[in-house]
Amino acid sequence: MHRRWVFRIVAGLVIAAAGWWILDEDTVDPVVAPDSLERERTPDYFVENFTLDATDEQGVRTYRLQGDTMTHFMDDDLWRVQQPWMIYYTESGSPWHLRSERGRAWNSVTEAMLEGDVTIRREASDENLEANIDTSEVYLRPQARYAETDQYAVYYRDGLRISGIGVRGYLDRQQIEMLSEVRGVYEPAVD
Amino acid sequence: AEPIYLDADEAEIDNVSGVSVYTGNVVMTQGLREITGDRMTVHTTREGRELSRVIVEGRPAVYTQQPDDGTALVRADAPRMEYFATGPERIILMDGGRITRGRNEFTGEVIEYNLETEVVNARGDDDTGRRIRITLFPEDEE
Repeated sequence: MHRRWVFRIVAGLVIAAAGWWILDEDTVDPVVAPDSLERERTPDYFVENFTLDATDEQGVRTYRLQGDTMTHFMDDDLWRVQQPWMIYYTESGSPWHLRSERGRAWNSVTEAMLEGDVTIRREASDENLEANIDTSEVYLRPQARYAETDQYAVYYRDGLRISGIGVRGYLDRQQIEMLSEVRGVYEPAVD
Repeated sequence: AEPIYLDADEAEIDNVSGVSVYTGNVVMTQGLREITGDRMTVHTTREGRELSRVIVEGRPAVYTQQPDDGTALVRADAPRMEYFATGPERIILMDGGRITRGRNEFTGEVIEYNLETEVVNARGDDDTGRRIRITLFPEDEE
């Protein structure tokens, strides 16, 4: 008698569990297709301690990309770069140095993304002021010496700090736009 | 001196000249002073370290200062005004400005208010025909 009860209880539990699983199947968000970048892909080649120089039609250097390693993935013409260091050269003034922990480049490096502790630095010269920008990620169009983020960013130089959400940097023409929630702080003159 | 804060919707920074243009609900504050406007163009010294001058445009641009001795609030407004951080520290109201302190009021085409000495200089303009008008309530001055 006792065994029959145990059997009924166990059967009941199994049915209930099955029912929940079926129900749950409908309510659970559809599993998001893995980001195409994350799919298991085959690197076809990589370079270490590399320097890549790009020039314009006249042969004038426009940018340089350096890094610890750069791995190319055949499937979608994607480069993954460790410790990328991008240098934008401009017609006048000092070059801009853009660095981060890691980066990605695609479309024959006409587009790129720097991610993780992004720093943009420019030394002062007779033709430009010092400039520093810190953010968490930045999208680049290297040939156009363009940089953009929708993240929080801080621009600062001696005596001035401007923060905001979203930045567009037209670094070839030395113009930086802060896109929202802007706060500027100007330190008083030191007597 | 205290730091100057500027809050705005957007800003554009020119890394050569050091000029920054703030647009959209712009509020500039320094201690008990505040200037509001639609657009502020901030100039810095040649080395780019210190704020030297701010051109404010608004509908209107408004300057307010609550004196720390508890006397009446100073308020100024004009379609355009310029703030100078040095030489002396002052604001210049343009295109027809008005400055009030308590019930006392100055109006004129161009008004210069020295923030250090609190002296007001106002002048009219033959072209616009705008003359100076001063309204003083002597007993308010004691």
